[in-house]
Amino acid sequence: MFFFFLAFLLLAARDGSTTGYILCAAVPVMIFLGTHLLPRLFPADDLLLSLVNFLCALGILVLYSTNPEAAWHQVVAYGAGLIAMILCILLVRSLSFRRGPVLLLLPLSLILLALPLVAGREVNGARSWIALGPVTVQPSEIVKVFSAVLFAYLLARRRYLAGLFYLLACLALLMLQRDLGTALIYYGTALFLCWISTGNWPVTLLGLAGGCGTAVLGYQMFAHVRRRVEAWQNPWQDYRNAGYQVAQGLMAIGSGGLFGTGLGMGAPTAIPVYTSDYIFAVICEQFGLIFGLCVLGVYAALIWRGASVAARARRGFHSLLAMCSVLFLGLQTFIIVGGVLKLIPLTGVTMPFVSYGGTSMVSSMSLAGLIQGVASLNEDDLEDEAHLTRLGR
Amino acid sequence: MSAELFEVLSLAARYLFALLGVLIVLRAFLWLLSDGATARSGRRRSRDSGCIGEMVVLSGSPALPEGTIIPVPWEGSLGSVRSCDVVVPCQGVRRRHLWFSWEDGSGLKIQPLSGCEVSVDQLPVDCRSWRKSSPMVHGSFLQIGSALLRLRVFAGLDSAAGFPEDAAAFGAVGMQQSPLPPSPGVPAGPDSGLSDPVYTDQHAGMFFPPAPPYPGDPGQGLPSDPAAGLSPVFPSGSPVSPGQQFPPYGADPFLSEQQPAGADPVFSDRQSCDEEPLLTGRRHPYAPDSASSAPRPSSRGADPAPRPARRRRSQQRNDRWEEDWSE
Repeated sequence: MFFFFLAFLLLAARDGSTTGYILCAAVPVMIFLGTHLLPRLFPADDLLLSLVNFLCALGILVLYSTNPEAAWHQVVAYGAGLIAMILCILLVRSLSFRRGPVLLLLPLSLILLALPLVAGREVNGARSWIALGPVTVQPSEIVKVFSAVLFAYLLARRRYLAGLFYLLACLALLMLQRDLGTALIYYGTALFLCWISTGNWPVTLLGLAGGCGTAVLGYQMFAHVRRRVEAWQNPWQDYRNAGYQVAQGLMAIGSGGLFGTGLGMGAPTAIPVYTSDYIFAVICEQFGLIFGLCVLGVYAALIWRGASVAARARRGFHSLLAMCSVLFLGLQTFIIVGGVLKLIPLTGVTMPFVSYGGTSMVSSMSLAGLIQGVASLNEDDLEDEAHLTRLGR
Repeated sequence: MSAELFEVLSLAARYLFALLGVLIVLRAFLWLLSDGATARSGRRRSRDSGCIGEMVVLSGSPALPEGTIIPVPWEGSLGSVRSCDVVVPCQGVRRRHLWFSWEDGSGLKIQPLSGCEVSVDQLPVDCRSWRKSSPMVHGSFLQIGSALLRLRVFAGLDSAAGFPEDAAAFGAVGMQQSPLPPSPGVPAGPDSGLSDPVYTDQHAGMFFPPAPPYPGDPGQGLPSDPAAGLSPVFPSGSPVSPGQQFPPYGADPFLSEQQPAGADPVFSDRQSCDEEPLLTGRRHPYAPDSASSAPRPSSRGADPAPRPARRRRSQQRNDRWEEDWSE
């Protein structure tokens, strides 16, 4: 809370604007309420909540330093995400995941994924957005939450073929939208989850081989895939076109050094799409590599916590649900950070909780809510066992 | 604020921000490690955490000798490979032989995989008939391949035996908490008519209601299920195929000479609650006889705390899982 108070105070003093001072007080209060008050009202994991709130507040801070209007939109998105998280907690705790309602999610997910192909608009080469009045929504982000429930349900009941068909349908629709980053997230999550639930190495390796084969096929068939790979290999070769974003991101990270150029300093607006895809580069430029590593450490702690929640679940469905949510968040983080750092070819996905984007914020908070729901069930089971143990005294 | 002043403050603050970031991450990881240590110590205190009971091997193999205790989790797989939750490396047991799941208020539901057959309390169960079969309860026998297993369910878990509303009235004890002083066990000997797996020192704290007699005891048999129209499973002769080898129950390896003779089963007073009609309509195997129908105060001293209301939510949740299995 002290960190955000100080940071917003500095930015408010720079601008002299009232909104900055309001955020200076509101964000720490929001973190306090979200971390300490919320668990009293709803069963929630304290550490998970703290980490999520830190990342959300960091996103608002970085957006305010570069684009104050986007910061206010992000605050509204955070509020919506908080409501979605609470709903997901209550969903996991209260509702039964019966066959009928869960399997209704299957056609609903595919319809949502197909919507952009019919009535969507193209943004940055991908046709993955639909306009609902003044708001644009990315259905693939919402379908992530549905897919977490579906994958967990189907794998818990050993309906492997149904899970495979659903995955293939999702991948096909995402490839048609040219949203390769999201397709990669879906594929990686399903592959890891299959290995976790079955422990079957041959099938997992077969899936991995299939994915690699598809990637090679995609490289051969699609020109935009070739451009992305070439920009990844040598962004300086075509600095002004295909390699511009990658090169600008690398220069921003490099110019930040260990401690950064300073909050509100540097030239983050020179990076294309700096509010969503390249927000990690902005963080590294302004706060430095040490702080950037700390942000990655926070994500690692989040994934560790989620995995331990999944490991302690009593039922296979809950365990797979938590694990699937963790995999979605973890893989998305790896893909975007890896792309920014030129570890892997860049794909257009957002950084969970931090990047600008209402749908991304809501879906990330919903996935966190699913993990929270399973964590609260684990606490219930521990209390039951403690009671049974007390009976034995 | 002037741009120069802001630049100075911003450059100075970046070191503080880096330090705060490191402190935040360190605190997060220390919190994780602390929670992990707490969870590990909790699991050490309650070794049966996450389990609904255990399977006792009455007849196994050299790799699974008689008397082996296998913890049984809430749900999982049973087979001969190590990746299964319950590993039974015996002849006739496939790599993954069956799936099981505990249902509160019912018991341990068994779902054999395709081509696998088991028998529960002498009733065959396969992949087509598992939905209609009765779940395993405390004392049920599971015949799988050449292995014969018997299920012990921890006291306090809802099953077809019913759950005592007031545990104190029935002297119920819960999951094992180590270490616990040894307690009186069941009377030993084949003449008791209520042959129970006897408790080793390791399980001194675990008490189970008297289990139904092993098939083969003359005159003792599992009660019939009027709903299924089945006759008692155990006629006076041996119910098992002539070729099968089972240890006679009187030679149960768990029968220990250390058990004091004549000691009352701790759960004898629990039998009084079994006079209530059961969900399946089947007469409970632990039906009380006239001698032990009176409730007995807990031998543990102070009455345990009343069951908290939170138990009801978990019971409701598991009721919903019961419906899932019936789909």
